[in-house]
Amino acid sequence: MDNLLDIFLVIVSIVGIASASYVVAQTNVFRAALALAVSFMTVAVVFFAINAEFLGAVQILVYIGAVSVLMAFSVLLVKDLQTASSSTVGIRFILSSVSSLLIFVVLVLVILGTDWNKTNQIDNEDFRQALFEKYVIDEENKMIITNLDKNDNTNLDLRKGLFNDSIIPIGSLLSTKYFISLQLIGMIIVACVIGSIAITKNTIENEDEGDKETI
Amino acid sequence: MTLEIILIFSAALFSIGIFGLLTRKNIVITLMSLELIFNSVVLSIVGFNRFTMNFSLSNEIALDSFFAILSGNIMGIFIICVAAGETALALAMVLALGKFKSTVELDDLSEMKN
Repeated sequence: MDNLLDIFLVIVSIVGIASASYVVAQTNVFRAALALAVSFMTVAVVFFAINAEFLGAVQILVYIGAVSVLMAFSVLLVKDLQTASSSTVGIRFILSSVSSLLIFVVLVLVILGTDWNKTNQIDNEDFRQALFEKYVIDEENKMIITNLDKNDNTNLDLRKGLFNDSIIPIGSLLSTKYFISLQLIGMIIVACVIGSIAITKNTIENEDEGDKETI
Repeated sequence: MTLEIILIFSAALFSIGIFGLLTRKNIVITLMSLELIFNSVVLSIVGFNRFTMNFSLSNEIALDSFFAILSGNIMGIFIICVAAGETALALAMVLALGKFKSTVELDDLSEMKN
């Protein structure tokens, strides 16, 4: 089963890398936006495959639904944006391709050379059960009970493992431990949206007056 | 081996994004490369969160610290949100540039030089 997941991930990764390369090589910006959407989709598929369903849904909603569409939209709005200048082969091109290739090679060497502390190899059987199979929440002591076979906890509601059903823990974390951070992120997004509306509004008004001197 | 595959995918996306950022001069494609880099970072964070463990294990775990195992997913959500806001702002600026200066090439934007 693990091998099947690996093969699936390799195929998805190849599609993602191909579409990402298409994005940086393409001169037509609209086609690049569509390829970018495919690349985002492969990342979302990887999220779904490794039990991060919530993040996969956020990825599809925010990146494919908003960012790619916004890119395509801006391409259609600006006249000269349809065809971009292709990168010329010069000293700059060679230097940047060598440096990015070097980054990739170093990263791959580090990834393959490190002995990662994997969750699949946890010795503690109870903990493993809580992560991947089932656990019960003890409401009084704010603890989780993992050794279900030894205790008889039929009156408590049984939950799937933490990684199998991650929506409830994420919601609980967002509303307790990371509540301030959530509010802060909301404020940042509101500021960004107000700023972009202000810039676009000024653009349109100045264009109506025929004043093309300054932004 | 699953973690390694995910991390190599993430590294490939990252280096493709760096390449696009360094070579292309069109603003929108530069932004797309930036999005690729953000995406690769989120992917590696979620992969680490799912497949690695870095704390002592015990049978009796408090509920808060048990749920806090999923902190990597929260980090990913925050990165995605900030990246989305940044893209909205940057594309508004691209729109303004296209209207007023009739250019979307980064090399033409050099007023601050002199």
